[in-house]
Amino acid sequence: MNDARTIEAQQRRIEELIAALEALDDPHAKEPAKELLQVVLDLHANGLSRLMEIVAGSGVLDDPLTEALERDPQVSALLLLHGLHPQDLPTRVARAVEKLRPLIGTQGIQIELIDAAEEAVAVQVSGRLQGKHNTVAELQQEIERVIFEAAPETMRVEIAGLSEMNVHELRFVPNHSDVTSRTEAGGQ
Amino acid sequence: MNAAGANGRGWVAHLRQFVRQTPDVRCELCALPILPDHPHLFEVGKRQLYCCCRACALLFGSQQGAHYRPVPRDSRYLEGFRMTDLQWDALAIPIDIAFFFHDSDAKRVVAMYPGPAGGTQSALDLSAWDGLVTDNPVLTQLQPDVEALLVNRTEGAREYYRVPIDQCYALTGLIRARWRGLSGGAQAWEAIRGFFTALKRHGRVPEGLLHA
Repeated sequence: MNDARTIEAQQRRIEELIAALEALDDPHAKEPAKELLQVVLDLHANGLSRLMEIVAGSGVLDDPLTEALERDPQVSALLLLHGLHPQDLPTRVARAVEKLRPLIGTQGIQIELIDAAEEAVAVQVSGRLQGKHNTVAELQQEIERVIFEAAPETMRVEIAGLSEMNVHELRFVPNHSDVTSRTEAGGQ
Repeated sequence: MNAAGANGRGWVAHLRQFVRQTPDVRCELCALPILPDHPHLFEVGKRQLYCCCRACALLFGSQQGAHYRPVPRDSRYLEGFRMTDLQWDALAIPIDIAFFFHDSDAKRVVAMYPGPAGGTQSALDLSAWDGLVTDNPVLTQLQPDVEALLVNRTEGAREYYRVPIDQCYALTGLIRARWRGLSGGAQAWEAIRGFFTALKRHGRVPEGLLHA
């Protein structure tokens, strides 16, 4: 299994376990689990933060090394988790938007970054969605996926202009009801 | 490829929110839970800073004849700022870090410097400050109470920043939390170095650095 796939599987498992713990009514079961997680996270955050300070202090943290750390999916995930990533959130989100631009440009969509903060990342889309296999819901998912990947600490991605999105006439009819329900569910 | 959480949040946001002890910080105006990197409002009458949510910061921070004033978000490294050692000495600050801001209540510029016991205010020789303003007109642009000139002369540095006042208090807190003994100790100094490196590079100090 490659690094990126391992991380993905781990992230999914974290989500599942959190959901399972959140579903517990008994605070006696939930609180110690939370605290255990918090302590282990703090332990790592402090150690990693010192590690970065020591590396930076030794003068070897040049641009190629920083880039190598960023490129490695496992290291990058840890740095993101502990707020130690060398690139700040707006920089990462701006890069993600640039990465999206050609991907969705071929579908006839333009995208602009409005704001990037932990609370929410806001983008504006415009244009006319082309190609019969492209739905508004798929577009939304793709934008969310790329932005959350670059900035997993953000709470939500707000996509303005989705509801006014023109869908090409050739859209697949059975997909239509699908589009509406998924867009509504995702828009909350 | 599912970086998004169950209900749209990024996985880090989800994990952080789960472990966060029951509402850590709340907006001091509307009591909504807020994130560690929340904005601040300055209450003019009480001379106090409030943690608040973005909605309150926008709403209360933009009113005319305001009761509250918003604390700006970003910092700027002041390239080419001019201050001689003589000018610095005239300000009579006992340590190598200080921040200066216009106190609209006292109607004068005050100097604060961080120390192991927190922030200490210093009476400022105003003629020394006026000379500095003449040499550096950028100082006239500082917003009263909510923006400061931050001077870093530690370890031979001569760095000047235009910073939101909350970052000055963040630095003060960081020093107070780590200062050990008379000379501070390696940890405190590494934290100070980290703070200024981040401020210079990103115009802001990442949350992780302040809490770690």
